Amino acid sequence: MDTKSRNIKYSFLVKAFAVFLIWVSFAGMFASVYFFGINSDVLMSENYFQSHAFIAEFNRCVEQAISSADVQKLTGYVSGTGTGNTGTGSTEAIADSSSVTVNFKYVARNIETNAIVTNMELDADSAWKAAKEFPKNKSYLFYSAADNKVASKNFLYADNDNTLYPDSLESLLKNAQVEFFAAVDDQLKQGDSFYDIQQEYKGAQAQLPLFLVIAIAAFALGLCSFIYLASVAGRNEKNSEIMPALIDWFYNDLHIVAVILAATLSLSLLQEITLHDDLTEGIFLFAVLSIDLLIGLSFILSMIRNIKRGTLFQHTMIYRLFKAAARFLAQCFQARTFRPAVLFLLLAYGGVNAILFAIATNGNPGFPLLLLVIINLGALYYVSKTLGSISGIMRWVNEMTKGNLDYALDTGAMSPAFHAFAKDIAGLQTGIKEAVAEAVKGEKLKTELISNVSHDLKTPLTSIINYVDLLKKENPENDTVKEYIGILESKSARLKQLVDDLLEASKAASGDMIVNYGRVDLCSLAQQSVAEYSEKAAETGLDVRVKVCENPVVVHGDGTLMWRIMDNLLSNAMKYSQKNSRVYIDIERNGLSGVITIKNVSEAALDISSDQFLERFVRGDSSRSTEGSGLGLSIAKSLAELQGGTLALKVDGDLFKVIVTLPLEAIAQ
Amino acid sequence: MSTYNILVCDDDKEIVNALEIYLKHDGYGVFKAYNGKEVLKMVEESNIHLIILDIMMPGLDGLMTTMKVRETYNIPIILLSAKSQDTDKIAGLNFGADDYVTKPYNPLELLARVKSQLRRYTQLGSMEQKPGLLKTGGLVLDDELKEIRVDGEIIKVTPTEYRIVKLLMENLGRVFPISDIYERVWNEPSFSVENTVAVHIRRIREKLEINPKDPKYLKVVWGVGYKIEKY
Repeated sequence: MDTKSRNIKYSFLVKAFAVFLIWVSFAGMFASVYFFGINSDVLMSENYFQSHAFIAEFNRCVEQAISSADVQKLTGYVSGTGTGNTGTGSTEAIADSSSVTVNFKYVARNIETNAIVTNMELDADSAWKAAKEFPKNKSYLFYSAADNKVASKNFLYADNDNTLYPDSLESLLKNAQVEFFAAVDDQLKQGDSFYDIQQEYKGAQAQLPLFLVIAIAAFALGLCSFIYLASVAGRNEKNSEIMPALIDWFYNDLHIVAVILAATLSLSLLQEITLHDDLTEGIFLFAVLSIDLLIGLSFILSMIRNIKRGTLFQHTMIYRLFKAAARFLAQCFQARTFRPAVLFLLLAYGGVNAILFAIATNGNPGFPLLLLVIINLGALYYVSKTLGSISGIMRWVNEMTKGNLDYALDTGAMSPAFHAFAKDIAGLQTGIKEAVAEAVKGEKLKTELISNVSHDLKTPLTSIINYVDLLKKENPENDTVKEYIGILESKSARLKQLVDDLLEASKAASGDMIVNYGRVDLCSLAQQSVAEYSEKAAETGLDVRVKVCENPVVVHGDGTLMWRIMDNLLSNAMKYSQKNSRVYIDIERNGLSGVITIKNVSEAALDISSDQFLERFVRGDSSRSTEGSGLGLSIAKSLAELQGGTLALKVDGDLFKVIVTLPLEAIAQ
Repeated sequence: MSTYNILVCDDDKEIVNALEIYLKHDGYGVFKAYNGKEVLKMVEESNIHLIILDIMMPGLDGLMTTMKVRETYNIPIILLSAKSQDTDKIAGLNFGADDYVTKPYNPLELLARVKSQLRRYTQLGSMEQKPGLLKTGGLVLDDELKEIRVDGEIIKVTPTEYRIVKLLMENLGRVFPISDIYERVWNEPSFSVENTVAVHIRRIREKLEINPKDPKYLKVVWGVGYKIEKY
């Protein structure tokens, strides 16, 4: 259970789900922030009357009121021509009909004329009385242009140093003998924008805790998911090695640059939009930020993986470049062939040439030109000697590949730059020679051992064969004795064959055999070989068919060894062929080689692969009941290879096919 | 005619004893020795007609013994050895031996070789030289009598076989390709009948040679043709 949960913890799906959770929490936070953004007013103000929306509306109404025609008439800046009752000192208040507010009230009074303008549906005295009460409201404005006095609450364009601004507003009232009162009712009534905005404000205020909770919850969820992701980053199971993800192949510094670029790009995109209560823009913003989130997350996780692996700095382009540069420099200044001297020599050579050339072309060309020629001839000599050394080394390598281990490298003719190298090569040569000599010695010892053993076996075997023969000559009466003698006779003959084959196999395999090369016509060889086996073939009822040759196929080989190959192959064919079947011998030219193919049908089922057949002591019948040492094919193969040829086997069902290939005489010459 | 005395020498007593049985059975007198020095002594003391000598012996080995015997005597020497390489055989014959038999040998083959060597040693020397007589070693072709003799013994051959042997003996040492033999003997252009020649040659070898697999006279030059060795 425990391990299972651990496995789940590190599984890809869970990680992907964590990423999804982070995205969801981001969405939550985004929504909250978006909400806070468009409702920042609600957040910033203690109550509605302090909110920016309210203040702005209040300001707007004040501005509208002051700049209204009636008030302006009162100030005297606009001469009353039409209405008549302006500035007449009448106690009748002039009702301002321009504003459609229910909750906004203002009273303007000319001190001199005592004329009053108001939007309240009251007479002048009551309006004036009401105006006196305005400071009790949650928002009000009092401005006296005459003595330049300002008092206000929740009004933006007023300051405590008794100025009203902006200037345009102040200038509307300034120097006029006017007092201006404005206020908004505390209890708002339906019917104007103050009320509508308040309703919105109240709604937002109600939603505020909800979004706060969402924000906090989303943040917590995101944080948890992130901590989880950071802890499992790079691991497939508990305490496993940190596995780099695909993106981690990206060099860290390049990654940082790429992320910064992406961030800049998205910022420039975001500059195009501003925060508004606009759903399309919000969705667009969210989409861009989501992509940024994914990029950022993958970047951070990549960095975390790098930190875990301790490759934060190693796995950077800059680090690599520095390292490569360091290695290159080290190579330049440490390696034997590229000594710094050579580098400086090259630089000096180029520099001197340039200087001399410059002098020669500018001034007197005589002496510098001579020097130029001498220097370049010297350089040419040096370079040609170096090239000569290289070609000498190449020739040496060539000779070594050909097997001429004694070819000596002429160290005297080497250019100084290659002295150390030539010495190394001489050492290498000695090493190879020793190894080869050792191998040859070992192989010789083995062959000697086998030939000694087989010689030692032959002497007692001679006695066995002789006395068995003598026993036979005693003409025993007993049939059982006769049978036993027969067994002894055949087994001792078998033993003799085995010993002979063993010796030959070891000699052939070790190459310890003299090859007398000559012209061997494969057609003649096939006919001669088949003639040798003509009687044996008749005995077993085999029909040996040699394909007629039109032209001789003359190969480069040793006739005696070729006969031994044919002897082995034909003897196998006689032993293992289906009775009364046919053996085909084909001879042909194939490109640069002469090819003999011997095909026969095996009597026993061939459940051995063709490779196994060539191994020593493997025979076509697994019971090993027939005569034969199992060395025949192995010997034939070794002998073919000894003469620079090949022997291949193909087994197709019970069809057994041996292909011997030797280089044609004309080619070998 | 008195019996021939044969000296058998091997450091393996059982081999010597076995050979003694075979040789006595065929009516030879047998002297036994177990090292080279005994051989030299016996050759001096007794009337020996043939020596069968092992090569690998302690003390004086077979090759050295052969050399010493050859300094004074002309008696046939057959070397016996476990060494079967061609180079060993050539070395043995160069040291003055007349024949070389590898162990483990076939007793009958060895007896045949003994017989052949004795016949040559005792009879051939007195044979008169007739014109029309082709001769190499113990092989003689008498064209007048249309006879082939090996070590004095007449070999029965068919007319074709006789013509083949004659062709080869007229050109001792020369290698004849199969097609040449066919054209010369059958007097027909050779075309896909060469196997006949090879089979004939094999039969002739079985008649002429003591061991057809290791022929002395009619030799196979593999991949080229056939020849009769010149001795």
